[in-house]
Amino acid sequence: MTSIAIALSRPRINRLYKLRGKQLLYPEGIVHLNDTAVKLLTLCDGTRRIIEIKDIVFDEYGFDMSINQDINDSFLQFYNNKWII
Amino acid sequence: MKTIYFKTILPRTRVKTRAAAGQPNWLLAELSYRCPLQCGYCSNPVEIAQYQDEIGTDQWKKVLKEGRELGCVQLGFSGGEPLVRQDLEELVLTANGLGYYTNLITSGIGLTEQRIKRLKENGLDSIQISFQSHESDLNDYIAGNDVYLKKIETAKLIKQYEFPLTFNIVLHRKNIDCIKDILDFAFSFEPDFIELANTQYSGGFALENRDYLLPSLEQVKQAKRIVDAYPKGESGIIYVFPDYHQGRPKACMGGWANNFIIVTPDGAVLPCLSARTLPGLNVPSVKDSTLGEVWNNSEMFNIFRGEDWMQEPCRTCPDKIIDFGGCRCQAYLLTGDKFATDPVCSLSPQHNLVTEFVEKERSDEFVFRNFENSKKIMANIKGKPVIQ
Repeated sequence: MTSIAIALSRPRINRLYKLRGKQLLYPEGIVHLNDTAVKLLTLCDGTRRIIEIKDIVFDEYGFDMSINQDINDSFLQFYNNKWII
Repeated sequence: MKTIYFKTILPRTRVKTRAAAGQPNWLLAELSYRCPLQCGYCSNPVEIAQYQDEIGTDQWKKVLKEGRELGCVQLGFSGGEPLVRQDLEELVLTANGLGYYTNLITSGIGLTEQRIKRLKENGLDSIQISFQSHESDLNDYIAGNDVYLKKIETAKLIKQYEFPLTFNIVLHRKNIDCIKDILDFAFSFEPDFIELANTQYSGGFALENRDYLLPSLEQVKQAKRIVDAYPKGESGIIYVFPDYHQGRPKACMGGWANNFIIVTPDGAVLPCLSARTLPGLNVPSVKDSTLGEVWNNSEMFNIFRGEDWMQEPCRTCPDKIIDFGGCRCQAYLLTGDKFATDPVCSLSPQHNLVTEFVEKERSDEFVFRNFENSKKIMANIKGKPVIQ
């Protein structure tokens, strides 16, 4: 997926997974998440585009290019792990 | 500082790894030892006939609540066959309300459309269905019942109701050579996960049938080659390795009383499926203790925590933090000493017990898992280690 396609996508959590607190649960397995990952995944409700999710994060923490990059990297990872679709 | 805050490090942890804090993640609710199948590789204890007095719905609800309070997030409903309990739907509803990820681990028999619909409504999260083979004759022979077509029907129903599907098959001498066909068959259901579980001989009926089930080293190696080369596609393949052939012990249950709590149909609380076979330990019960009390204070759960209990060669072995000395039940059942190094380990002074058995000629005598055979076996054991 290209970075533009990612930025315009409206991700939601893959039906295999369920977010519970700081844990992402799937059939017979658990992924332990850090606060950042939880924050981003919580915003993936299928209605928000990633650019909108970024706005929410920037509103809270201020804009910073390195934060922007980290969010991009995180979402790429989420897609690669199939946590979001 | 903000940058550091947003550095996303995502530790990916499967259930096998050690939990960070001293709290369990997993609760396995074995609702009943009743089962329409009679698979001789079953991990249920051979004493099932003795444990038929099942705890009630309210008691199970209390267990689910206590498990969640203790930190469990993954819940497996298993058995026997959990669908024989008519209160399964009710327990799923309770579990869902408590915030568990709920897994139904089933033979597929008894899962009617009416029940699956209800389970969906009540929030069941995923279903694992077991097959015994890719073809009907062997499937139904191992299962001791004509269930093959019904299982196929059920697997389709699970997909139709959009549950995450895990296809499970237990591998042994009689089906492992067909691994390619088994994988083709498994993929035809478009599962999310395929679990290829080499039979574990750490107790129960599997150990009773070890002489029948254990494959040769060549069979195991060939199967692994085929699995490794097989195009995986979108499904994840979970391969439970055959510890008898590997020379390394498995980190049983991710370490003793580290991650798992098991509650049996009659309310016993155990750190592993076979723990009740270990001698000299009081078996805690949900009838007189909370899960928290058992987890924190019982001898059953504390006895093999940490490293102090270990003998040589485990005590000074660098791998003790990986495999925790292997399976305690297997160690006891093969050597008579529950503190011994698991003899599947090539470093165990009693490793010959395993290697000699692997090379031995197999038998064609197969003991079906049912209450009648359970009674017969119990009459013969009289509390001694089962082996030799």
